Amino acid sequence: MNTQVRQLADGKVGVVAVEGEIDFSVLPQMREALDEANAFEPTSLLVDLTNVTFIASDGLGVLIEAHRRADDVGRKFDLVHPQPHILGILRQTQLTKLFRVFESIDDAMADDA
Amino acid sequence: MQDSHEIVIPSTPSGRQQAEDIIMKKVDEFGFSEEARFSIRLAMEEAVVNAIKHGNRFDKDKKVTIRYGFNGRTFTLSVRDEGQGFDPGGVPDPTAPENITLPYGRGLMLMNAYMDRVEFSPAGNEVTLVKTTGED
Repeated sequence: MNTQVRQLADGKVGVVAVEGEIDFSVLPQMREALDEANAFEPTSLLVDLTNVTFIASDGLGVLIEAHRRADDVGRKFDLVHPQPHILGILRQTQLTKLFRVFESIDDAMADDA
Repeated sequence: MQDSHEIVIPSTPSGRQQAEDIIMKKVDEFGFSEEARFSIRLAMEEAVVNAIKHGNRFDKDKKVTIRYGFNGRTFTLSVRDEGQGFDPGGVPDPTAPENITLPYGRGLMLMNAYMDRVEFSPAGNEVTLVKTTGED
């Protein structure tokens, strides 16, 4: 798994782009990337799942933790463009009730505007 | 299981990774659909991580025994830990409103959703997962 953290909209939006499999072995790396993005103190944090090919329940747990932490400080936390298998897991676990899921980063940013 | 194998791993992330890599290579050779492959990968991850984390509680002296095999179009995987076992009927519904924000408790649900059959031993320390490919 690889992660890339970047800022958009003059730092108002933090993006964590994840590539590969989010399994048990990469949870610390996921948390580290989310911490890095939170350190910028954006008003909105997006996790770009476009290139994620696998996620298990512990990976979902890291996203839920990140959502809770964002909520605690009034920061928006949304998911972007999960592939069908990943979206299927989010729907199966009904986490689509917790997370907002956008088709693209532009869509997510437009919603925040 | 006509073609059965056994892997015994320590309760460590690296042991899990090696076992899953070996088994998925066999699954790929067997020619499951992409959807079935994803289901097996997911359910196996949940079962093995549960065994290491909740069953053996990361005790490196305790082992996880993984048996798997193919019979016709059916893949069977069993994962046994050396823990106390648990009652799968006692696991709270992770989709209930009071549980939806909990960062844990979805592994069993995913196993049930993505495999054709999920059975626990009476002691609750072994789970058997079955998936049949829809392709001839």
